[in-house]
Amino acid sequence: MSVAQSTTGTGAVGVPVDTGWETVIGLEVHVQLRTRTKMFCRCENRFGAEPNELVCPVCLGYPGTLPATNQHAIDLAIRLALALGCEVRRRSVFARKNYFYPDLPKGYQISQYDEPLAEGGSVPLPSGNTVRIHRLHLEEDAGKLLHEVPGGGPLPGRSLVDFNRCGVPLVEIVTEPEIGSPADAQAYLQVLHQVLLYTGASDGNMEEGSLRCDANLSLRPVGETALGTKTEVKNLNSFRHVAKALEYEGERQLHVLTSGGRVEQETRSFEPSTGVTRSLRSKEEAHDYRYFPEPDLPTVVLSRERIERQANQLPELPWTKSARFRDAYGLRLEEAALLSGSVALATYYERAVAAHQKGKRTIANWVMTELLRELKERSIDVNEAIAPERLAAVVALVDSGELSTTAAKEVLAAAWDSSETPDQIADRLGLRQVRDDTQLEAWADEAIAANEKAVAEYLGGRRQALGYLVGQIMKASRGSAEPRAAQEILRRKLADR
Amino acid sequence: MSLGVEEVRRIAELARLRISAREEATFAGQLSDIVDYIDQLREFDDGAASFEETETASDVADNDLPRPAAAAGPADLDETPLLDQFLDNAPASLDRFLLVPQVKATPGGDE
Repeated sequence: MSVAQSTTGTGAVGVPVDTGWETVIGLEVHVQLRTRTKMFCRCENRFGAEPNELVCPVCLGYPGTLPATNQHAIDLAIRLALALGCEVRRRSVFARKNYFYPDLPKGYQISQYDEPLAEGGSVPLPSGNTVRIHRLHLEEDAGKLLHEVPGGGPLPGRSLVDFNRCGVPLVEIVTEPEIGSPADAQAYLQVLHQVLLYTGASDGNMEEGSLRCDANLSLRPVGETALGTKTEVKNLNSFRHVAKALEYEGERQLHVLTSGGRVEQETRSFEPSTGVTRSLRSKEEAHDYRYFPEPDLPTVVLSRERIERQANQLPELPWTKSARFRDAYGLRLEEAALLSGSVALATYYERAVAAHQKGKRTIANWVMTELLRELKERSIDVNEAIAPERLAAVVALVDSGELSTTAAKEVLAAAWDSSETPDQIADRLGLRQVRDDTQLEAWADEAIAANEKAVAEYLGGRRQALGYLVGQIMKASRGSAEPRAAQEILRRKLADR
Repeated sequence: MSLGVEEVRRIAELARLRISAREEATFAGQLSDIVDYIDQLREFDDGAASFEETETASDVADNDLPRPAAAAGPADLDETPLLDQFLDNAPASLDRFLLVPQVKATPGGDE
């Protein structure tokens, strides 16, 4: 097998066990916190401003300036840490991480090193696996580098620097290196993304860089406990890219190892268009960040009360909500996970169920199919959807047999943009299911008269032809005929022949 | 001496400083003196609670309130807007950007 060429062979499960090797993945995620201002100065924390609009002497690293910690950022980081089950340390320390790069005007990044804000923690995945968190710490973002002129146009031999992002509050979340497959890595990121939105710690906007991921991967012989040599893939900015990059990297390393080679410890970049990771020019010099405690900032000392205040503000978390949906509403796990995907969608579903309690399963189906499709078509948010009580009223008409599913879709579409009740709409459009024999008989006679071929087939013993005739009645009645009654009448009429 | 010439060379390299062999010896001596002096300070016990351990103030209501962007307004001591000052001080600029020699690979920073 040519591993290097096969990008889909092992799929999302990673390197197959029968190769004798197993995958070990660790993720490092950077999350921009949703504050109004930066971490150590009161410049706005906002995406999309004019280049170098949101800067001041502090975040530009001018001599003589002093940082002042954003306490709201600390609170958001505490809340996020608690949501991930971490232990928040009563005492943590900011440290300087020294390196030279054009996006870092001070020549160091204020981060945390040996005394991070929080440690431990775990995140349950829908698959039943768990990802353990190693640590969570606070730091500041760096500026942004552009390698072409905005709006296109080459920039040979030069880069542009925009410092608007410099100093934006970041939380770095590091997992234990024990994730077993690219699929679990992707699932972890998706759950983490939900937690960010549930807690309000971040807007989680991946296109704007609010959530960025570096992934480490190594292989080791099955049964071995020591870690193999890892490579790091930097700056993955979509869930799919993370899985794709890790799948490729796992297969690449397997190829190297099984052909007797050695994996080089290095940093690689992922090229989304080709699905390939590539070695970044790496100097043979080990990084030496010369961390030391930030002398311009006091130690962060948190009172129990302050940590408790954040604990009290934690919402019901995605995995708890999902389990509750499954148990309380009798949903399958995947359905429960989908409906608890966002707080807004979960609230919508629960409000609809409250309005039509017997319909918890039917409502779930309608929300997952009709509602989501309609939202997508209209490119709108669930908050702008038809009121959940109105959707529930439509579903109630289906559950009571008043409307066929087809007719109900029509009523829902009409109810979306009108103030009439679904009941009124059903009447106005004449969509209530007809069980009235006189009307059904008239449609049945029409169907029989107009479809001699199907009638002959049915009488000749081809029973499926009856379904075709029922379909004709449904069509003539614009979906309002009650299919079982229609079928009964057809059968009776044809038996007389 | 707590710092040797080898360490001074390494520090100079990390700090992107080019120093002569004579300076290496001089700095090794001077830096050692500084480090040794800090070690001496460690022995001092002031007997009081450390300033560091004061609980971090959390109830600063306006702590996360933005002040007007400095880039647009004048900087403290000068009537020139900060952005202009900053771009004037830069070796090169393009529109509102700082212009630097191309950097593409990541040396290990967060970007």
